[in-house]
Amino acid sequence: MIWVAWRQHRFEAAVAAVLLAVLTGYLIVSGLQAEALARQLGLSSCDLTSSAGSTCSNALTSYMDSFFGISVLVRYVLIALPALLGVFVAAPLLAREVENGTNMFIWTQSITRTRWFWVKLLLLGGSAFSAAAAVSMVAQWWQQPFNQMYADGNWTFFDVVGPAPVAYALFALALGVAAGTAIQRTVPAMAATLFIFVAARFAVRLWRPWFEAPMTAQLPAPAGILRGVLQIASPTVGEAQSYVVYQPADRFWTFELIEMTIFLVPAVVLVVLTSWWVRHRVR
Amino acid sequence: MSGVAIESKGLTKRFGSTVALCDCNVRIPANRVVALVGPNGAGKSTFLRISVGLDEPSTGQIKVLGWSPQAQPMLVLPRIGFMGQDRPLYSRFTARELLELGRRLNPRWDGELAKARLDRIGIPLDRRAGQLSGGQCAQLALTMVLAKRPDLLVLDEPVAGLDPLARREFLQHLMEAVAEAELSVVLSSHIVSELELTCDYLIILAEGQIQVAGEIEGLVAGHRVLIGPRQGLEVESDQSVVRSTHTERQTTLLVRSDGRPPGPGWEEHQVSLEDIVLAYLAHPAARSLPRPEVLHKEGPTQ
Repeated sequence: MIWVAWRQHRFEAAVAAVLLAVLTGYLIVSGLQAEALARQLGLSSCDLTSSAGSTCSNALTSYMDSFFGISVLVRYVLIALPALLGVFVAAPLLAREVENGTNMFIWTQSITRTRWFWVKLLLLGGSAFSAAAAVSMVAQWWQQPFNQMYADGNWTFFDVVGPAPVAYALFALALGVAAGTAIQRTVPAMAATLFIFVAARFAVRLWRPWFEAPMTAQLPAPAGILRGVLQIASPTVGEAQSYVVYQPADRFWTFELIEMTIFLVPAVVLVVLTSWWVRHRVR
Repeated sequence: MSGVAIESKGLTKRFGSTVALCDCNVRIPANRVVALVGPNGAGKSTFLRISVGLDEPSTGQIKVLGWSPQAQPMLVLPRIGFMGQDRPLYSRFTARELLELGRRLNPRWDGELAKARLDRIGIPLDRRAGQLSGGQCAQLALTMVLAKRPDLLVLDEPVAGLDPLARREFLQHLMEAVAEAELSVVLSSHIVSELELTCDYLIILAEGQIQVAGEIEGLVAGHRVLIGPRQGLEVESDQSVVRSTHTERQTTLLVRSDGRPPGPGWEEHQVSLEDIVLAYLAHPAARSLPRPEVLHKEGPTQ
């Protein structure tokens, strides 16, 4: 069955491999360039809050000019990857078989359809997990020089580093397979996958600042305390009582784990549900 | 091998509010070539799909070669060969890759037989299934099910959409395979004319119910056409009358052999399988089953 799954999906596998190779290659090259420029400009000794017109501020401006656009673009490409996986690989997995009637062919070989489902799902899930984990680790290395461009540091790259993007990929996969199984037509299943995935990501993103009770700091805050925090409410400037609401930098990895759980739990539920559907409901 | 290929009891399948199969009781003997006939939407595909485990019955039971295809798929699947509607195969697989798939997924796979068959038909091993003609594709699909070395072949509309030559060749190859191995075959069709040569057992399915089940020889011997003077509509009340047609001067009755001519002056004729099938299809309420309902055996029939 593993051979069959490989033969059937080797085209998708090849496309994904090329895509990932190009992306990682680009990440490594641009990361090295950014690092070299940062070193050349002496950014590491700079404070982000240094006043305008200082040497540091000028250096940062010229650094931003070179790399800000790239950092945004790469971030969006990385954010889109799980959606691509769900829409183009997972959603057609069962829907296309049913559309072509080939499920009748493969499910009447001497193999149960439950086994068929799990072999395919584990192969695909394993590949998605490894690929997402690898990309996430490369992204973690890549975003370090860009951190300094953003006031909230790490938090800007929350969606592309750590365990969260791996969970997105597995969720997109489970969602696509489930949609394909429930709808049994490829294009509507792809559309449903895209819509639900984007809605879920958006909703959790809105929820994210409230995973834990945020902290409040009076302004003017002591030096450095607002470095690399996730600001929720902007300071009210010009008032004596102005303050800022934020999540501190050291909660980053806790939040990554919370976000991972939020996507992994429904992924597991969807897979179990789909396995039952495949066994009992697919025609 | 057991004497029964497929046996169903009270088999019912509903899709939402539509009833595809309704209380089907049938016992299909082994080592026959069974034709499952019925109009489109009569439930033929549903019956065949349930019998290979692709669908589940809503209520009732089905046993295939003695086992439940739903509860014991690993006992049933290696012993059956199923060809679904439109004879689906992975169109991007080459013939060689399809055989490799068959070898890896089926414990009883006969690779020699498969290769020999493809060789004989003239399908190159490197050709993708999607590039084959309709007839060749059907032959490749037939090869895939025969090489499983099944005890039972279940074919859903196997010759639908083929040109007459390909259709005849397909049935010819099927018959050869049946002659070579101890093989039961159940095939569905709505083309009646070809079945008389191919099949020896007939099941007519109408509106989700088994209407007729029996040996074709017995069915042909058990029905007659009676032609006599014009009768009123009351002849239809006799339950042995399957169909009556009337012209101005005469009445033609297709009756089961227990039916008697309504009076003197009637001619008796032999009947063809096609006539029988068409008569039953036109009258879904008529029945001819191995354990028939009580019929008017004797007594006045007028």
